[in-house]
Amino acid sequence: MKVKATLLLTIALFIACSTVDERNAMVVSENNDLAYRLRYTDISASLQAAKKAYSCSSGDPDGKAEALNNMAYVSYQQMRYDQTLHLLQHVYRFSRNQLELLCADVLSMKVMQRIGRGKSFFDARLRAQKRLSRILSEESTLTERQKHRLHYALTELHIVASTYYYYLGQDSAARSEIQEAAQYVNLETDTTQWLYYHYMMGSGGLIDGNPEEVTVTEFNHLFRVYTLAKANHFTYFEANALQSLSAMVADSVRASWVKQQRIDAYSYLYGEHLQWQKDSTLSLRYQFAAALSHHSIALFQQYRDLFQTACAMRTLGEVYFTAEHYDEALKSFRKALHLASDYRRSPYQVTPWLAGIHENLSLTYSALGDKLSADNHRNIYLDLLDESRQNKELDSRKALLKQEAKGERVQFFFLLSLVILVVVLSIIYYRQLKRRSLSFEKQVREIGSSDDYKQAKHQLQKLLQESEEHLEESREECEVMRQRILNEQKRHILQRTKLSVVYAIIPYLDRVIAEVKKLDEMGENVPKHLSYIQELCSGMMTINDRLTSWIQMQQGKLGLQVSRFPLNEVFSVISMQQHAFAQQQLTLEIPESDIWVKADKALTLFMVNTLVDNARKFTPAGGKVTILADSIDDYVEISVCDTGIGLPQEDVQVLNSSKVYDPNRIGTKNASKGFGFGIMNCKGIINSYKKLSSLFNVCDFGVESQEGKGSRFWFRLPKVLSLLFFIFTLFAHAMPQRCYEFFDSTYNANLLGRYADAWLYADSAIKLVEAPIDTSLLVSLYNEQAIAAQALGDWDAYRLSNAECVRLHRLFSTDRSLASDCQRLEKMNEDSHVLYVLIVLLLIASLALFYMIVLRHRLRHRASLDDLYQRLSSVLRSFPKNAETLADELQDISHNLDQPQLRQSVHELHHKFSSALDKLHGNSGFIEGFEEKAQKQRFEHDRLYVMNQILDNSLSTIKHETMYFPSRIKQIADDMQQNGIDPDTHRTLLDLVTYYRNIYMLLYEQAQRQTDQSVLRLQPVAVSDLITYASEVCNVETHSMKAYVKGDETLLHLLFDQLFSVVPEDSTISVEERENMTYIICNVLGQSLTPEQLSDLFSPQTERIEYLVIRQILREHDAACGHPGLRLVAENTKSGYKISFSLLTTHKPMNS
Amino acid sequence: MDKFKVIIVEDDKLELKGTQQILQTEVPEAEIIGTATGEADFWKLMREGQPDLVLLDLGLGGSTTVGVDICRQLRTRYSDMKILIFTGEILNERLWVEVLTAGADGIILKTGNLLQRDDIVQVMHGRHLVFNEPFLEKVMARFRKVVCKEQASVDAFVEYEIDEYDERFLRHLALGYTKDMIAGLRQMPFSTKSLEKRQVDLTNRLFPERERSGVNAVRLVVRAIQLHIIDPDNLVADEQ
Repeated sequence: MKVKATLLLTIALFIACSTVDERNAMVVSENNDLAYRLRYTDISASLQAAKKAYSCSSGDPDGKAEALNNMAYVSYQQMRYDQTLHLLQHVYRFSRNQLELLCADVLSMKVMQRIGRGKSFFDARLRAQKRLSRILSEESTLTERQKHRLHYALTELHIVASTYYYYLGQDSAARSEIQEAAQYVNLETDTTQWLYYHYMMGSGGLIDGNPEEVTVTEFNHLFRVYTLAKANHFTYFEANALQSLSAMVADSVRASWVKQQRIDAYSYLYGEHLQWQKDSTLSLRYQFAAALSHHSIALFQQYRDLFQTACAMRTLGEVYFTAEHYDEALKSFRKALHLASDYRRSPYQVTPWLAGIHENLSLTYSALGDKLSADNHRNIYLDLLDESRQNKELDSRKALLKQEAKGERVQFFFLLSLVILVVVLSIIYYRQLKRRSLSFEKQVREIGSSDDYKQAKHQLQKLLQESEEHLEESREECEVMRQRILNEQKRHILQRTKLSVVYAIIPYLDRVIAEVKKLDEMGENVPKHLSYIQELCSGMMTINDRLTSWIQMQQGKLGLQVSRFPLNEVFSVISMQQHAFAQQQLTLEIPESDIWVKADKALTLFMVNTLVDNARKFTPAGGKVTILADSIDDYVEISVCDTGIGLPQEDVQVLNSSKVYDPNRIGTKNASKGFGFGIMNCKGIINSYKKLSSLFNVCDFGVESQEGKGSRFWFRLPKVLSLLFFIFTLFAHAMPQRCYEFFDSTYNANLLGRYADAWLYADSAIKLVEAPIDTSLLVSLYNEQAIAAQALGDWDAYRLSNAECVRLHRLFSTDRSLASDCQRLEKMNEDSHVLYVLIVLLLIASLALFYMIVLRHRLRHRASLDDLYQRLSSVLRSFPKNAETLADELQDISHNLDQPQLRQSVHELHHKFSSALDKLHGNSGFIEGFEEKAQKQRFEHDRLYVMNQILDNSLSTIKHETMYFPSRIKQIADDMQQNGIDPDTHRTLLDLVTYYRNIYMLLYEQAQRQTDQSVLRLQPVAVSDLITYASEVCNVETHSMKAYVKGDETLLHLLFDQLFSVVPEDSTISVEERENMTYIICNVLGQSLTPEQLSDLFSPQTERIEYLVIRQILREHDAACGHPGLRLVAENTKSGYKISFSLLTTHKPMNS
Repeated sequence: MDKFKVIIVEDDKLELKGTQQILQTEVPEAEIIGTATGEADFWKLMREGQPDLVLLDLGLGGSTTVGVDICRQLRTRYSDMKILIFTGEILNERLWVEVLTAGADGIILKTGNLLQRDDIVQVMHGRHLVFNEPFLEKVMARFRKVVCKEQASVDAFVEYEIDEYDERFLRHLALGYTKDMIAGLRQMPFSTKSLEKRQVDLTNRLFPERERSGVNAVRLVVRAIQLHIIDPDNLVADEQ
């Protein structure tokens, strides 16, 4: 009803006004005054008055502008910023009244401040200041009313600026602005501005001093505003004062100060607000604070200022939050946000305020334990913060521009002197140019003694030296590898020798079987045959003993090569089989693993390879083989899984529990092929780990399988402690890296909800960060720390971290739009600079003329010299990166030169480099060769090494598993000898020997499989070389020999080593050639051998194992030469005995 | 069987004893005129009296193959003399071939039933190639393999419908002929183009569908060898 009535009244007035112009002007100014007075009392009445003034102002542009300004102010209060700006645009468009335009500028500033547009704020401010200076220069001509308006604009300008700085956290600027405002404020002439000023003073942050005094002063300001506003019905300020007071009361410390010093005012307020106290669950003080807020909200609602209502609501929320009534706080914050968010859709949001409310929400949610929402709001908070940043630099820039304007005259003279200076300098420059051209020429000619040249030469020398060293290293590595291969080769021969001893049992065993079979046909010959069986058993036992003692002798001598390595190294070798798998339509999946293990690398590779091979063998097309590495406790379980045909349960049983079995029978139920010795070898390797050290107790091997579904073969190796590596990597990196790692830890800890850890991590990281390091990292760290504190509910810590985060964020994020801002400011000064421009243009023209006529040629000549020099020195400087092309580049340069003198010097330079570079190139070729060779040798070594290791295992299995049989057989034979033969015992004996032979043969074959490939490298060996080798140890009778034999030099040396370790030192060596054989004879004087010794010398019953090694080497030669019949004989001679062996005579090698 | 003289060459005394026992109990007609443990001993014995049969071990003393050499020399000097190899080299097949080439009348492996009367009787009756069961088993296994391979070849021709031109084409591809060269062969009445067609056709016949992609001439030839369609040991080019 009221609205309708006022509307009617307005229309009526409108009709009335339009009739008389004179009266209209009166009405306009009256209504404008009214609108102004009412703006803080009753906003809708103010709007009405303004509208009325507007409607009557058709002939009065100034009044119209003022009316528009008033309307704009109302819409500003109602948070309709788009409308405000629209109205202001209107003012700008038609009004020439500087005073009203100034008011419009000030209002623009207010809007921009609230919606957080820093740049637009400054634009408006700049405009306002310019206008102000113009108006002030004519201040005397202003009417009283206009003066009043000017004062309003002035106070408003400074207060807004102060507010702006206050929100930016630039307290000193805010303070100086408010002090400026203070001088224009007058209670009598303009009560509203007086209230505004005091409210600003009271609302905090603008007074310097000790906190207690400041609080009390602020309280005084606010109290004064409150009482005066209440008395005069300035609802807006009354509500604002109450809101600020509420915040003050909610703070226990500040409240207590106020209570102490202004108990009168405090209790007055308290008494006044008893009726507003609603929530009895709060403590008294909080009830009071809440009451103030409630009152404030009611007033703002009455006044219809949505934004301020929201602000008051937020204050209420903060009161609840402080009182730890989070649910209530949340409700209030959400209400506040809701109120403000009605204006969300508008492009003009109250960004800084929104940021604040989101922070409040984030904290409240986190207090309520809703981490997700808390994070969500915190992110919005940070985003909004980012939007509303501003730069502090602006002030100084503005000051600079002002200074510039003042110094115009000074500049003019300066410019004049500059012109003179330029002319003088040009002349000097020209002279110098001439001189420098000459010096450049000299420089080029003498490039051979330049620093660049010396540097390059030095680099070259260094490179050469390095390449020599590298060459030497590769050569040494090759030699080391060669030595290691030799060792493995020797070891392998020893293994083969042992294997031949193992084999020696087989004929005996076959004889025993044959004898046992025939026992029941023997009749009276039985005892004789039994005793033969007993003898054979003793023979076997002797051989077994030999073998045992030999194996034991070498145990622990050559252990496993245990090292620490990442599993990935092994896996990457295996992954080279992808192609082979793909060809069989199989997929091979290999994981990326960062696990390190402690084991024998070559053997680990062998095991994985064996298992993968097996899996491939038993997986049909379309299947998949997967390698897995699972880190469990202190070991790694490496498994090879397939989707193959699987194994029957009984086979799994056999594989998991039996030490010895026939591998060819495993898996044959489903497939036509057997398993081979691979699994047995793998188990053997795992056992030898276990024997080595207790560290390897975790080692194990196992099989899981389901018929038709697939199998999983796994083994375990000890894991290397990853913690050690973590620390190692931490220290290996530079400091900043550690900070980043701490940041990552913080971030992860926050993600995982380990907030206490996160806080600590962030704290350590912040301590590590030093000044030159990335500010953004620091901001992030503080942010993470704030999040952690927030989640922990430690509000003080939160506030500290957050404040630091926000401060740094502002400091860090510079506003890029500033550049354009400044450009625009400078452009404004341009008009006055036309004169300078003309002078400068003239100067440039004359300089251009000077350049065209004189300077150009000089410069060109100089430039070509300079270019040449630069090219040369850049070629030299970029050495050694351009080592490959340097010679060509220099040649190229010298070809393109037309001055012979210069060409000569470049040519010399070229010559100096090319020979050294050639050498370098040659070296790198050698290095490549050596490295390739080393690689090949490494492969060869690993092959031999694995073979030997497996042979070791096989031999020890043979030793363990079959040792007891001969004595058992002998025992039964003894028994038969005494008690006669009964069929049962005979059967038992036959079974026993047959079983013994089967298992023995099986194990022998497993071992023998490793010796399928010959390790001999046959080549023509000069007999003279062999003799020379032998002569280092013994006497040589033979004159120089020209013959060559077919053999492996390394093994022949080994043969000599073995020989000389069994014959006396004074033995002599001679050489004889017969038919196609070369006999090498070792004569031993002074002692002869018994017939027994002679016949057993090279048999497993021999006294010295060396003889067997010699025999083995000969045997290998026999097999590899393709010419059977090499001799190895021991005979007694007249003066002692001799050992002779023969090798196949051959031709001299082609290339020597 | 008449009485005959025998020399046993055996370096292991325990084994020698066993062999002697076998002869004494199973072949009473044999008169052991000497035993030797080494090469030198043996030739000394030979000078003293010539036996009808030499029972020879291959490895003596340090040398493992000296028996081959002894056998060769014996055969050259005494062409009528019976030489029976009695050896423990039960795995070394190469050596068996060597010693048979050198003139041995038979090989008895020191495993299974060892030496039996029947073996001696057969040798003394002038039979060559006298072998005991373990030896024959090994030979049989090899023989079976070869025969199976040949049968596989026949089967492959039927199964994959290989005609003589297919075989000739594959064989010449294996020998490195280009299709142009093969088209120029007298017995190959095809153009290069139709040979290309034939190659595609062969690929389709020899490979299951999912393996066909990317099969080139080399892969095709290897497949043909794997299926025993062409014999890598018998790759001969036809006349031009």
